Amino acid sequence: MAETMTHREFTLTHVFDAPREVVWKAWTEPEQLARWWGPEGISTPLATIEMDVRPGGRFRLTMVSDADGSEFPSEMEFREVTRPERLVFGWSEQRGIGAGEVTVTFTDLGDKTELITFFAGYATDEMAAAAQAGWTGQLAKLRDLLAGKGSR
Amino acid sequence: MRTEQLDSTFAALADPTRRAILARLAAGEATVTELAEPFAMSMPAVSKHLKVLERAGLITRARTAQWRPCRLEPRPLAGAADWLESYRQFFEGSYDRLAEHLREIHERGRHDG
Repeated sequence: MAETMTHREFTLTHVFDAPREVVWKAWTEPEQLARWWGPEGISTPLATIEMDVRPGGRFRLTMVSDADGSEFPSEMEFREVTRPERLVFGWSEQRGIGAGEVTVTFTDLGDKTELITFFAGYATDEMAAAAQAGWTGQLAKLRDLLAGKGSR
Repeated sequence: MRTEQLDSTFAALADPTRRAILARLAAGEATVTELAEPFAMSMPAVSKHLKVLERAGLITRARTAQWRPCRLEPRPLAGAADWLESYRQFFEGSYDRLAEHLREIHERGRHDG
């Protein structure tokens, strides 16, 4: 049960207003990655980025919170590199973060580029326990609801 | 009946196609045709999965509209989905910044060229 519960996937589709070659470079050059990697409120200093963009190559960086300077180092590796179409990178379980893999597909739309990002990841025991606690809580509520309202 | 309901909820989540359908519905309601598209599956096969999800209380389907769009009932899934949501937000946030960065490159290119 635990295993089927903790593997999760999602797919995101974005269209960028730039040719595929430009988007590929923005994704694979450290100087450019430093400009955009991480959500709002997080910076990724160029000095922390190490990208060896080839299968088995290292992909390391440290994200820094703008608010309090706390650091989030990531150790990843490239697993598949098909320039300028497909980039696969992943990480193994580390510091309480479950293993995961991201596949980015770059589709040429002329002046634009469609980027499809597929995430597949596992929760660690720790995360699974937290998720399970949440899940169990939800089930308890469901059970109460069913008890209160009969079969529906 | 109650035990049956709980069993069906767990069983519904054990299948990767059904989890993918739920992930798709997390982005908004969809018709059976729309849901069938990415899975290379027949409509009856997708309908079967939808029935399982509906019985498990994980989705609801509109009764009125002819095309009966499906909608996610997110509450039972909320706890298990939290960590996944943080990854999703990571990419959404990063890609907003990437779009901005690409706009800047484009502007600069125009000045240089």
